[in-house]
Amino acid sequence: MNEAYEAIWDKGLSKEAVIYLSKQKNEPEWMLELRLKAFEWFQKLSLPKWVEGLDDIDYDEIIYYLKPKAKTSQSWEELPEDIRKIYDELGIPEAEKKYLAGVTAQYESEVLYEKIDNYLKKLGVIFLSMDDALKQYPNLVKQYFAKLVPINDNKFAALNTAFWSGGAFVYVPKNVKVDRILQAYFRIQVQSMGQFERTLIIAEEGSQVSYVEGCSAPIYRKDSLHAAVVEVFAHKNAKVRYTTVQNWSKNVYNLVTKRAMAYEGAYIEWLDGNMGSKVTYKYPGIVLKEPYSKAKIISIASAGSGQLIDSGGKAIHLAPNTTSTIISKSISMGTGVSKYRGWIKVAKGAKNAKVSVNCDALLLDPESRTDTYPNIDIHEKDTQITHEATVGKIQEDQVFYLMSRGFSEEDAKTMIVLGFVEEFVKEIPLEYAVELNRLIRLEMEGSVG
Amino acid sequence: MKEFQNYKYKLKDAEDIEQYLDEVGVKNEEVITGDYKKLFVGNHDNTWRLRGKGELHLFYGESAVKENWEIEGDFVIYSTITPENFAYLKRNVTVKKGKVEFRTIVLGGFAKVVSNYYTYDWVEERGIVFLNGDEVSEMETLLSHEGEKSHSYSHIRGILNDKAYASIKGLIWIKPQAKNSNSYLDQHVVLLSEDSWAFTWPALRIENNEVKASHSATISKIPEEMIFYLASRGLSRKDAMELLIKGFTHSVFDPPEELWDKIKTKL
Repeated sequence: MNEAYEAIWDKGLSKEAVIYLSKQKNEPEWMLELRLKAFEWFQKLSLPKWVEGLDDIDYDEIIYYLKPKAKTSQSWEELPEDIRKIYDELGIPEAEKKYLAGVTAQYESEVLYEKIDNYLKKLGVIFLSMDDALKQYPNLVKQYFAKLVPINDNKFAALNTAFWSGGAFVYVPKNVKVDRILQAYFRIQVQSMGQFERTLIIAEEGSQVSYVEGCSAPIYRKDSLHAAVVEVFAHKNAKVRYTTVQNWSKNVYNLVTKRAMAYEGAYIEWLDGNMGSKVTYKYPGIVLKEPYSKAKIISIASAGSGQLIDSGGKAIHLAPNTTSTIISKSISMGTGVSKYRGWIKVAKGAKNAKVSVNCDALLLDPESRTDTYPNIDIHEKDTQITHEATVGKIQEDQVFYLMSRGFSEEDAKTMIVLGFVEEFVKEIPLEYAVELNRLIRLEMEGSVG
Repeated sequence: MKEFQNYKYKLKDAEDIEQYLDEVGVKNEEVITGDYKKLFVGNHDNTWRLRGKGELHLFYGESAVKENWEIEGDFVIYSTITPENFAYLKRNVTVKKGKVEFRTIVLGGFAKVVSNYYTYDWVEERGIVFLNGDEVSEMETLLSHEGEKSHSYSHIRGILNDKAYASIKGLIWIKPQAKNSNSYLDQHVVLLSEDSWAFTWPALRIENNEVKASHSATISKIPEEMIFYLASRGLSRKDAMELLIKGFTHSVFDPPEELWDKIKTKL
């Protein structure tokens, strides 16, 4: 274990661990109670029958809380040398110079490097690590925390609530439009450590915000668990966009619960790019609670050999005149398995709800596999629901055409795959788009031809 | 049939019913070659072996049936399921060779139809569900591709009135060896009333890449403008509705004329 870390609890998951963690953080009493209740649920809940590939997780092996020895810094230069080096590789400083409003870079469990632009201060936007937010704005956190993802929502949401550490807190006041992108980098770097970040975004009436999280982890030996929870509240006419471009190394279990609540006229977008990881289970969900709210989920998944990516989207329509769109694209390579799992529910009285779901899957190799499991549950007749899915491989005639224009077979296939995910790529910030294209290229190397 | 009365409020306990069938079921074995047959099916465990080609008309009233089918040849099999209360039908169908079509109509009651199709050649399922009152119907279809160049299609339509509920589940499973397979599944439901509701689950499991597989599902009502258009041409609202529903089911198959009197009462 690296000596630059402290506050390590390596005696497995227990009630004592929860208390120890909460004491370490000097948390208010209610948070400790919530954690303990969540831990009880974590022990009680079992996994759904259809879940596979998680048997290897050893909860007692998880070292759930790591705190780098350095104190939380306000500027780049204050960061320790070795940590800075990793971020240099990620290209953060350049990106920051360009258009990052604030970087909350998560190096291990604690937010280390935290810079909030004067721009944000002037607007009154709060952009903090979750731990600091709990200290500085306890009432605000208490009002929203675990209100959308209940502590017993699923086993891993319970686990997260019991042991959460780090993550981001964003609060956008009424009618404030944040026209720069808020960004946070996550990174798992020490072997066998769990990262349980907790993100909470609150957009008040008429506000607008776009949040990007990117994850990347270097290669290390033991299996690691990442169980995050994200909650987003978009009040009347607010607009929230949450983008994830994720590239965990191929031994990470990525089990994330993401949910958003849309009030009257609000618009929420989840853009979800799932690359890497050993096993991913993740379904961004949106509750359309009030009339005229809108939702869009675009999710792409790329599963290489040995990977299982189970992603999708959930939309729950509870009010009239609500609209949701789900677009899912998946690519399976080698023995990779990608799955779409979706849930559409239109409650009685949610008149004129419009739902469109579109899942496309691309299979690159004969042994690749893709599954589609959409659940469509409709209790209202004045609705328009469409669901479509297609599965196919790269068309030979398209490859032939490109090759006749002078591309190699590999380039031609890569180009077709990049075209397949274009709908997602064109929506995300440029640097992420570049990174994603590069990642897909890398993934395809050796798998094609 | 008294034993089954208890089951009507909990359709999901298929295992219990099957256990019951194992205990009381009479084993029948029918070998049919080529001819047209009209059969009323009681409560038992059947094995059907079909050779040649032909048409079969099966009627299921109040029944709980397990069937095993082995088919070589071209067949069209009509099943009409009209229980007053409860019907349970489970089919395991293996299509070894030929083009086989299963046409199923569910008219009312509490019906659960589980069909597992294993295809080496060509199998098509066409189903229509008409429900009203507080009727419930659950359909579960598995289209499993076992051999190369196999085809499977499933087309289900549901028309729901009053407080009816239909659950329509379908899974296309293309196994690694079933290369060059072709598959399509669609599930379309029309809700006629405020209190009717539907659940659809069009699923895919594709395990090789030399395939064509797609599916679609929609749930909607009959658009007012369509009824208005027909009304402007002199049709009563009732007639217009009937015509539109005939059109809606036509794409799957036309229910036999003698059933229309019963269907009309459901609209």
